[in-house]
Amino acid sequence: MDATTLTLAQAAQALNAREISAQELTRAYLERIEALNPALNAFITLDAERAMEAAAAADTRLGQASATPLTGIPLAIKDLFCTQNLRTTCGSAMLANFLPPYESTVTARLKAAGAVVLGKTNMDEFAMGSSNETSFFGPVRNPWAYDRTPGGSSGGSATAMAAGLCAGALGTDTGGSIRQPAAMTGITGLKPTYGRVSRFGMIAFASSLDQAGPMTRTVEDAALLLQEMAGFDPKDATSINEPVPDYHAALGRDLKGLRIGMPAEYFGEGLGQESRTAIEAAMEVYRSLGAHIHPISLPMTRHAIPTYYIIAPAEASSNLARYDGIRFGHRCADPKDLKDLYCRTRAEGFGAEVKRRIMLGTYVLSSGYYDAYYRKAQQVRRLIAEDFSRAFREHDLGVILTPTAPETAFKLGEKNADPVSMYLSDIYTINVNLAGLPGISLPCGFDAKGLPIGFQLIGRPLDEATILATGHAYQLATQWHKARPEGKS
Amino acid sequence: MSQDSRYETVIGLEIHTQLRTRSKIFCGCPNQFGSAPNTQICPVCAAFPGVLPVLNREVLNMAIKTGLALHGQIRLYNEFARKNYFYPDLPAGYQISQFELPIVEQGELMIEPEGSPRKRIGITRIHMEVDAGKNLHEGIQGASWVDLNRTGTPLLEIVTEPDLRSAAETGAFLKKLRSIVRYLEVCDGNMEEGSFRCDANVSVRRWGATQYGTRAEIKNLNSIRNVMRAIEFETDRQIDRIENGEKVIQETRLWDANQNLTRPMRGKEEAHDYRYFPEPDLPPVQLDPARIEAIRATMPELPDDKFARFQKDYALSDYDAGVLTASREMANYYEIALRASPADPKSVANWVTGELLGRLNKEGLEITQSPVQAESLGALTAMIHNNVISGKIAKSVFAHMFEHGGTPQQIVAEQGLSQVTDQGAIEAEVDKILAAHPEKIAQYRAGKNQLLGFFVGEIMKATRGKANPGVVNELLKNKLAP
Amino acid sequence: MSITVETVRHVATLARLEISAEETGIYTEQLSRILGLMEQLQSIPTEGVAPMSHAVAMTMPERDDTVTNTNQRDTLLANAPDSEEGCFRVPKIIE
Repeated sequence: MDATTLTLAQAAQALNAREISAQELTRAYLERIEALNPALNAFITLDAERAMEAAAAADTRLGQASATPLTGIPLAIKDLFCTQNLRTTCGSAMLANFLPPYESTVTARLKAAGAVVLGKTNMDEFAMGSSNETSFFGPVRNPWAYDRTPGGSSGGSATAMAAGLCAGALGTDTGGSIRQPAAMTGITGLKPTYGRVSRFGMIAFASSLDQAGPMTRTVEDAALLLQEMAGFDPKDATSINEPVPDYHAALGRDLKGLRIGMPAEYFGEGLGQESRTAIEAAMEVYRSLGAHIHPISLPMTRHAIPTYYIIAPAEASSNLARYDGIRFGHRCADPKDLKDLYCRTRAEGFGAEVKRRIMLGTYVLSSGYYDAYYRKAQQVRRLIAEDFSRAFREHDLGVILTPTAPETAFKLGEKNADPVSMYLSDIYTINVNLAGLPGISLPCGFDAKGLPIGFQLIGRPLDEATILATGHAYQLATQWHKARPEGKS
Repeated sequence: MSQDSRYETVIGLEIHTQLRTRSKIFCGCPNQFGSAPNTQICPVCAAFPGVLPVLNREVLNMAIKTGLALHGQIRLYNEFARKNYFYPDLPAGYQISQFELPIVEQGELMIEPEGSPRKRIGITRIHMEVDAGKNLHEGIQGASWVDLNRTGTPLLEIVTEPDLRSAAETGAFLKKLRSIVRYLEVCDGNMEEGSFRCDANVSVRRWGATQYGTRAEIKNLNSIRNVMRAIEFETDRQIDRIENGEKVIQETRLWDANQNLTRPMRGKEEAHDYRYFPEPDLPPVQLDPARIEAIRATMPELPDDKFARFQKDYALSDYDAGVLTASREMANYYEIALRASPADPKSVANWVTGELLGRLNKEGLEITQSPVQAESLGALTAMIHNNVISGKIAKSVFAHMFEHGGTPQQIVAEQGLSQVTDQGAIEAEVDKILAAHPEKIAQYRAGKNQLLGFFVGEIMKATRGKANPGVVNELLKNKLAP
Repeated sequence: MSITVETVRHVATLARLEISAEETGIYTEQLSRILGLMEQLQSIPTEGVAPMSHAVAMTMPERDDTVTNTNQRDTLLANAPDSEEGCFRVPKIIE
């Protein structure tokens, strides 16, 4: 048995039954990483030694009452979560040597549950990008086609998961950074409701949009990870203080009578034909499971990109002001005065896309432009959110089904010259962040080039259980999530 | 300094009060002054990547309390905002403050400048924000050092309307405001240590002009006296410029207390664009009106109310009531002393404002450091009132208590200072003295009434001050009657 | 909407980013295009719409006023590029 082909749930079962030890499982992944990562570049930092220690501790804990479904499960962590005394770079030269003296709440919870951290995954610099090409540590390759991007910004986690380099991975999603790479690499990726998961220790890109989530082989695996990740955190004032339901128990729900909304605006001319066909087939599956498909309209959809590219850069311009070369991170050599220290440190430490967004964000907040851009965008944001709540209410929907991305994985370098065309690749996911809703992407087929296609399920606020149940039912009825990129490239 | 009577000065203040919470506003670091650099900081203070602010409940309570004390409107829905600028003492590159929706608006404070009628000074707004750290320069070769201990100290910024018209009014305002924040126990009001800081926006205009002149913002004012001196200097400087046909420039100036002048600030020369926007890491504050009422119910009596009550209940003069309500500690001292001598509020007031404060001032002590406890001072006053000791003896008992401690009862008993009120014993002394001075008796009887004092003095001397003066007088008058 | 080279320079100063002449040209062109994308928002009627600064309606949680942190200066200074006498060291600041 190749342990690295197991789903997280299967691995948990095998660990629990003592068919495999956590150390064996961890070693299997480390060996696979050693073999494949040099080409894929999915990891920035590996933590093999401590991973083996954690696995040994997990082996002791397995079989005891304190064991959880995650005890002994090897995970890949996006290099945006601060991990105590383990280098955390956020994909940037600015933090190339940063050793956090604290642990993010999410990774702390997963470690407390017994999970094993294999290492930190590559990502677009400060999560700004949709192709993983803005990373200071080089682009990540898509295991389905090495000359293509895995999407971004959680491209390293997506590739690690798709290539079988971990049993589960963590991503973060500000405008689609979990779901878009999940779709492009044929895995499952969940962005929870804003506030469902603590942001403490997650390096901020856009604070009102950022949310952490699982990237996994299956929906069931996503439910197992979310269970430990979710919940109120006194260290994050924007985390929601509501009880966390039993997500795994919710997976068994019957879909009979479930009302699924299909927004016309997401199926317009921007959507590739092969993706359209695959997603329409997924809807047929849902009909066959007893769900009803309702055509709906979300008229504000087309305004999401401009709205997002005002709000997210504005928040980012402020969030990234702390990288000033004084307390941590890169500092330029021999600054002649304070201003020189700031300007050169930041010019050297940040890459082009990050600088572009800082410039954009600074501009839209600056005197004389705030009302025209920032305030306007915040008002449109409310209209976008109201579009969703109205649709859910008026059509009594359980979920909304859309494509995840307009196209399958594009080639490395293809969109680099044109930031606007890159921004458009998040057109179906950004709305969900603006509205704060949960969304999940699942694989539903391949295009003629053999590249994965994904679709997205969007839920009501805090109703992760319904999108998980809806996704799980689909995976019980289909095989797409079982496909592996083995022998591709 | 000569102020030109053809001009009037217009002053608005921004006061930063550090709140006396145990911990900082957004993290669990201690809120304390005077520790070694950077020993009171955490990743939140130092704005490390990924850490988040969580609001201290007590900061909100103190803001509400202050807002109520200054008769402001408490905004039930208020929010924090980021003020963005780069400076080494501001680690995040933004200050968490309030902008469009501050917690308090439209307050007021009545001032009583010396020799002028009461005047209303409008409070534009009060908002919560974080204090910055400190950049250290002195004695450091070729560098500055950054100490972030102060970062995250909770501040209330109190902004006034441009209602103040002179250094004297400004001084009266600051003294009154300081006494209120001290009464509320939200701020210790220490300008030297920087826990109560004031920036002054000063402009001048011709009398009768309706437009404001161009203002200068004066910083680095570390005492009320310096605020007043800076306003006087700045008024003259601006008038001089106008009279010389020059324009007043809108700028930030620093007060130089050594040279007694203001000078333009050099460092942050470029135009500011703070790019305020709502703080995404903190949800809006939504206050329950019941919470505000609960705070109102526990508000201490404020100086104005206490002043009125002292006048009404204790029949005190303006002066006495003013001195005794200048601080909460002073008023408490008085009222505790009064409990031991309830029949005589005026004498207790005299003892506190006279003997006690005189001695404390001389020793450089605060009322809270008084070696004489309020109960003891009250007991002392009561002993005079009850004829146990004379006023003169009381002064020496007071001095003894101040220097060596103890209660008046003890001291009087130990030193045998009780007044002799026994008629027979005093009469014996009176007779002895009269017998010794027959010629003075004759002079008295011939109309030299002032000799009564001589006899009283002699008797007091003989009894070491213990004879009850009333009884002595009574006996002497009877015996000297022709 | 197109922005000028001067605006780009001003914004770079506000953001404390040193940019070369070449970069200034690139940013001027790119930012103009991106801002062009945003023009469409101006046509949306938003009068009376409350700005949305948070993704989910929530109210401020409050923390008890207790001291929970102890001195961690050395840990925090460990990441500093330059420090001296327990302080972060920066070029001389002129006030």
